[in-house]
Amino acid sequence: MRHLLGLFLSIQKDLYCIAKMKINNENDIEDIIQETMLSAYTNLKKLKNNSFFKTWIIRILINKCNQFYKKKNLKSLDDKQEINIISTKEIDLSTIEFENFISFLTEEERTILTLYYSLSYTTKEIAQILKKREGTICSKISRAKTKIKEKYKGEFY
Amino acid sequence: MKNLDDYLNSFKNEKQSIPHSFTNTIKNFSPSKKESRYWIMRLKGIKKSIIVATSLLLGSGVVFAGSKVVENIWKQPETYEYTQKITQKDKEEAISEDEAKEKAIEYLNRIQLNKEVGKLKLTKTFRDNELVWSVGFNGGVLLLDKSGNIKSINIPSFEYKIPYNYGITREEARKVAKELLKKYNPNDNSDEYELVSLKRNSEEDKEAYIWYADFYKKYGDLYNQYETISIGWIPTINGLYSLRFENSKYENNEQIISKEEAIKIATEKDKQIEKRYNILSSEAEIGIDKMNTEVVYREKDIENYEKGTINFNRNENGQVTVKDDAVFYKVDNRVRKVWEVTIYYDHYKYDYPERFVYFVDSTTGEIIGGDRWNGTTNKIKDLKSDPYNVIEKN
Repeated sequence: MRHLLGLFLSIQKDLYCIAKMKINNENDIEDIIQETMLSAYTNLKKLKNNSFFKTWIIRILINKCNQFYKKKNLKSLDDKQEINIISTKEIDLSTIEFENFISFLTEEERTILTLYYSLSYTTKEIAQILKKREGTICSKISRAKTKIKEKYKGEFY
Repeated sequence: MKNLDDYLNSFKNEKQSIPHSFTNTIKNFSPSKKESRYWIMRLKGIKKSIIVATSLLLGSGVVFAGSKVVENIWKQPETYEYTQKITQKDKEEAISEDEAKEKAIEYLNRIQLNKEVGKLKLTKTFRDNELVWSVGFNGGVLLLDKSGNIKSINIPSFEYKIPYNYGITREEARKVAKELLKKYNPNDNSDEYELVSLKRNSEEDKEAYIWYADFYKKYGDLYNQYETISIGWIPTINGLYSLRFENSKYENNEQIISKEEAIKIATEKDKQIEKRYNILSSEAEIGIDKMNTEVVYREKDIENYEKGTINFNRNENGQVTVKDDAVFYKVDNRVRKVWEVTIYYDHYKYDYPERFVYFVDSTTGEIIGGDRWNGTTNKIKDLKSDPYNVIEKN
């Protein structure tokens, strides 16, 4: 058990950032991480290749977050009621946090950009996590960046 | 205006404070006791493959508490099927033809080459089997990688009317090179690049008038030869002849492993591979290098590796062909801070001792690649001291 805890602790930053991108409430995040660990513990035999442990855990976490939304009966994953949308006039780009900077994007776009830029996953790894084609991930990154440029007009090229 | 990519990448270093309650949730996790015996055995296998403490790198076993825990980055290289054919999987991996065309037109217009784009073809490079979009335009060819980043442009010199008096001075060449960098760089970060090489074709060459400039991105004292912009141009008219981009980003990883540790790691590995010669001496310096399969191939078959015939043959006509028993390996595209450990052997060729350079990752201590002759740091030194390189000399 110490080993499992150690593995989770070593990637806790990644897990926290991804969960935070999807769920705002800290208590809910802790519940979800517990469920993720339990799921990993009971389904370990399904992991075919040890080197995929990290992407496998993250996929479980993302699924748990999605199940959480269904359980709470929220309208959509883009439900922004809990997310603080900041108008562009208030933004100081030198101090803004990443999650606020991309808060206006869709949930999927926020997840992909978090994995890619904040946590340095490759497009291949992101494709494995989200079970999409790598080309699709590249396109979504490109489209999200276009949206950011439109949103923060005149700030970025 | 800021470069969006650079801005987004800056969040990598953003300190994410993790609530204590989150960490405690993990630490206090406890499933049913009856299952724990089985899972400890399985989990030990996972632990070996993804987490290693620095003491493991020195062969003393895994130490968990009290050691800096770093994550392995080297994975057993995957084999892949070398084929020039475009598969359905290849098509799914790359951006679509329409997207490729759009990116090509956007870039050509940006650099004021308002050319008509013609035929597009998804193809693979010969040596690296890399998937690229080849975009023909009026007068040349543009290559994009599978994500749509510009890789290269080539415009044959016969597309230009070469001016009669095409000679320029070295000082003029240096000035023009820097102007062309700003013109052709897709990003507004030209001041992060340094001119490392400036050369002209030799006068015996019928295209002697063509100048070439290589710019490398610089990080402090280190150069990344995998973030480069290379420009070939025809002087006086400043006609673009060739353009090549490489954009494998440097991860700027932490230096944890000491020089002595790196030399020890490389030496121990080398003893498993090189059985013909003894080690004469070794040295190491920090550099930026890319993960590669050199050590994998060298370990597989050192003789053929040194001849360059592990997977390819050259026939009597000079044609290069793939061997029937070729096995191709691939690794992740990662550029890291490494110790470039050069091992010299007591066997001389052309008055120099034979050698091999190991790239020992400066964070994890893993051997992530190598080079037959030089790491980046020595390559830059050799380049700058080349008498034909006129970056500074008059």
